[in-house]
Amino acid sequence: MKKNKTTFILGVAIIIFLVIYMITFQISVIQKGVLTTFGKPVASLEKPGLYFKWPYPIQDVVKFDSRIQILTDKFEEIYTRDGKNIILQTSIGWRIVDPLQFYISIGNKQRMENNLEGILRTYQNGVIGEHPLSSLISTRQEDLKFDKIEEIIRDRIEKDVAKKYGIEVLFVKIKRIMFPEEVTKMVFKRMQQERESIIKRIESEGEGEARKIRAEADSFREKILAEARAEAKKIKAEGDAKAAEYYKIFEENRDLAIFLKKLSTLEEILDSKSTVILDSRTPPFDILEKGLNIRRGKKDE
Amino acid sequence: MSEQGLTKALTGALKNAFSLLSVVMVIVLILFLSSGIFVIEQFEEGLVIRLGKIVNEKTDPIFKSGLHIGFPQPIDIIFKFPVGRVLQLDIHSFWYKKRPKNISFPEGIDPTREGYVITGDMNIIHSKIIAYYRVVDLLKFYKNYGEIKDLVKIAVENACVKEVGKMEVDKALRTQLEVLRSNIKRKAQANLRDMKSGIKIVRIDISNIPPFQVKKYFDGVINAEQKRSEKKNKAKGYKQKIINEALGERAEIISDAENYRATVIAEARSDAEYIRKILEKYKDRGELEIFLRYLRNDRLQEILKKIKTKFFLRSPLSSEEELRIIVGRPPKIGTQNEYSQ
Repeated sequence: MKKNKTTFILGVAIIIFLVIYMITFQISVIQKGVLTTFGKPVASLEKPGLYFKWPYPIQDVVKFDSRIQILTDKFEEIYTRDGKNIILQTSIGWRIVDPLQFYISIGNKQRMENNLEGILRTYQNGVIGEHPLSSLISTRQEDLKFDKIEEIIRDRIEKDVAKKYGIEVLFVKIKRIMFPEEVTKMVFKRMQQERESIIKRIESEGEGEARKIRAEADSFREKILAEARAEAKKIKAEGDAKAAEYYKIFEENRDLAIFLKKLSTLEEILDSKSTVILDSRTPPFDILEKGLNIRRGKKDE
Repeated sequence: MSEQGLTKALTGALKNAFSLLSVVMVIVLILFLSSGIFVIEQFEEGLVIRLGKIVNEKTDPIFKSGLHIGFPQPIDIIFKFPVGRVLQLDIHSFWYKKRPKNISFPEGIDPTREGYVITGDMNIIHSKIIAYYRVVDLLKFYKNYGEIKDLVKIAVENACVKEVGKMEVDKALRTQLEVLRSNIKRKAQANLRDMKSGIKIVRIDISNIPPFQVKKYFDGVINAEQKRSEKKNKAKGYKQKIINEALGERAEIISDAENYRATVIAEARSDAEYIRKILEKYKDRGELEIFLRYLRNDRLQEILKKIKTKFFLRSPLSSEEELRIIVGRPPKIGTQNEYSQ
């Protein structure tokens, strides 16, 4: 009896659970939904929470992911206003804001993205075609309008799709800009020429700078030495002038001064390697002469 | 078997089946109830979505690490994410494709096969990026995306295209790589903010190279710069050497002049003093003459002592006599007959 009671309670609980399951549903914070009655959409479910409905097939609920969806387009070849041929790849972020309109107009995410690809292509081509390439790629800050271009594309798409499909476009981001293959060949050729020109410029600059430094060094040297020689002359002149003051005493006996100077000069210039030829009459060697004379005197006698 | 026996057997089987079913139901019930218990790891944060709504969304919706008890599914849905972990994304969208070495490179680049990015001066470079990021706002991240997918990749690629597209090629390759890295990080972060991601870029690493088609010309520029630097350094070395030599010569010239000055003054002073003393001592002219003769002989003696080679000539020579002097005699002296008169 007790066992039957337990089984009975369990059975009732399961039935209650199944009934609740069939008549309730949740819309999560990351979802939006549409309630249908016999397939016809009757209510837009935009707020998260628990809802009640009649069991299927009377009523059903179609749920959509209301989070931001990212669609990345294929590579598109586009011409800019100044006739430049570029290849772009763009990503677009969108989400459902009006599930009822979305359900009625398009029905599912895949179809929406297929549509968006075409819409993105159209508006992207249009906006890029209104701007020169320098508005996307340039070293001049004032030329660049990259963010603005993305914003314009987003705005135009949003205006087209928002009411029509019940979605909002949150961002458009260009993630690749490239040239067609043929154009890259020309770019490489130009890059090569630029580099060669730079190399020549650097080489000549290097030579010029080195020459300048060496010339500066030589010029400095000449200047320093010229100054040094002038300074040396001045110092020597001071010495001579000072010496001249002492030479005043030479005036008292000029012959004596000259004689002493000659003696001093002889001492300085004659050394052991000098060869001297002397007259025998030079004192003290004149003794030898006189000695001979004495012998002659005796012989004569 | 009789009908009663069959009925009994059937009843027994049904009873067993119900018992088994009861056990299964109890197990299912336990599992169902225990599905409300969840664990958040140390590096994770969690959200509880109860009947579609985030628990405590307006106040404090984040569940930190630990054991938590909630309602079983489908009443409560748990969303966990490793917000404490820095995640890494390698982006090769702008990089080249590796080729076998024996294949020669094509002249151009097929954009569907290989990636590159265009610099502000319309040059082409390859760029490899590593982005480090983490989820910092779990609520925003969950409500808008729920998973990373291409989110960070798009934000970083867009930032790279924009920032490299503002720079000259040499700056992007070498001279301002750090500035570029910082700008890409800042722009990528701004993108993620616009995209309402709740993600923060922690760090960007970037590596840029010129395409193989023109690499040798870029290397040529680096070599030329290196040579210029070497030439300049060599010239600076020469300049330093010349300056040092000049200063040394200058010092020598000045020193010689100062020595000369000192010597000249000292000599003059000494000579003057000597003469003054002589004049003071030998006031009589006769005495002075004797002194001078004596002095001359004495000095000559000293001078001639030093000289090794001296010739004395008997003078005057007669008209038949001739004197020949060989100056700078050869080392080997010849015979007497050769040199004697």
